[in-house]
Amino acid sequence: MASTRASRFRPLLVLALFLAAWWLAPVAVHSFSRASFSLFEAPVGLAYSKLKDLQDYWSLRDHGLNDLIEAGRDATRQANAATLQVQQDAALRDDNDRLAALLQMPPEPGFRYVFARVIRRDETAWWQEIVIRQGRSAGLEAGQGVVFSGGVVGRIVRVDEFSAVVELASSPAFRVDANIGIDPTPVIFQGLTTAPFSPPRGEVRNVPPSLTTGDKLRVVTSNLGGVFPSGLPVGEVSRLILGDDGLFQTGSVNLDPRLADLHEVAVLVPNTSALASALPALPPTKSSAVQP
Amino acid sequence: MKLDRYWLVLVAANLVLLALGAMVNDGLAGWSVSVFFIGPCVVWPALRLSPGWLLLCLGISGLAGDAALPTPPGFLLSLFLLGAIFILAIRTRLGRIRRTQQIGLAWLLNAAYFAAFTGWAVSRHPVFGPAFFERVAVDFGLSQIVVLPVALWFFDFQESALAFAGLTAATPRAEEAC
Repeated sequence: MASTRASRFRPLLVLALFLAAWWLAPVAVHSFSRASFSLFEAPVGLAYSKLKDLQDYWSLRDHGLNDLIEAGRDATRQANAATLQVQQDAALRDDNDRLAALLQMPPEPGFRYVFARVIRRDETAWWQEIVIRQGRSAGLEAGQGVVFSGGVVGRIVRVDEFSAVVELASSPAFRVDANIGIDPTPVIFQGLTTAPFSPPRGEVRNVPPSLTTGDKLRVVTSNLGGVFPSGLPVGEVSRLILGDDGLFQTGSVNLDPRLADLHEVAVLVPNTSALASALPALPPTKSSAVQP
Repeated sequence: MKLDRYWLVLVAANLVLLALGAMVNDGLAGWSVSVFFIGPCVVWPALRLSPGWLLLCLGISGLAGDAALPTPPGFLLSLFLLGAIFILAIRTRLGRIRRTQQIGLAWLLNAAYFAAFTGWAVSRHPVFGPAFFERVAVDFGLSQIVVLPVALWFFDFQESALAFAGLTAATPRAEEAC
């Protein structure tokens, strides 16, 4: 009778013991299991992304020749406008560099862009992430900023060999130093969980009371954190409320609605690491080659 | 304990369900809603497999799911095993398992798993806007509606996969298999 009862509880005991052993196992075991399974899953994600690209390609092939001619004409116009803009930007950058040199300001960190297709979007109530089709092999590292044509996308949180996970700006875990327009006072931007069927939102804190929503207030990145260059758009302040201390305001920020439906992004890789990876390995010097 | 091929088929079926969930949520991202239907993964293995193979099946399924989630490694694995422990504890009282009971168990486990993920998210970021709870409520409601047809399809899919692998769906119970 007792042995029957014991055998009934044996399966429960086996599972409970395994569970206890798992949580008592060293962190290395956990990390190894995650890395191993990620390696197995990566090709599936990449294949799914490539299939989506192929699907887009075949749907585009259905367009007629006239559509193609119109698209080409529009693209040429946009390219011409962009060329003019680049020339203006170059002139402004030169001007900016000259003024910075006059004021003896430290140089801003430069970035290069690594463009990446979005493999998968995972935007639940608990986390807001996207998986992109570039990884460690392209020089990506955790903590690097990610942008798109509308401004800030988020920050890389995990990197595999050929893919990376980006935490979106609408995630409550995303915080970044920012500025409001040209006001130099640093503020803090933090993502907020997106309400159902609504565009993504965020929150801005430590806003000086001199600013009001009567002016069109844009939240832009600050270069204080070193993750983003200064001046990239984050969102637009829709409402400001004076805090309990009466010193600072807290505001609601509307993010770009395209943030929830991204297909391609660019990762900001700091130029220092880009330079290091671009440099060829130096040959050993005579002194280092000499054996003791 | 004889070599049991059932677990392999059931792991493959679980991976298909997890991938399907990721694809559906990718499509829903633009509407700021998501669905969650992992409850059915545990039911069939817990009802039919012997403890060793059950551990292997849910272990691999859970760790594979964990690799794609921002939760701590082993979180989904633990949820799967706790769900299996729950089903094992009540299995003898269920008698002959009907499809409606299987779906009921999947529905119940899905709700419990949703609550566990919400608890983890709250503990991770204590500062939330009012939209968080609104979003949780909508996602929970949608998930619990969606999990019913998904579970119905998934159990049929598992049986079809077993039949395709030359195995019968009427496997011996764990007590007999041990």
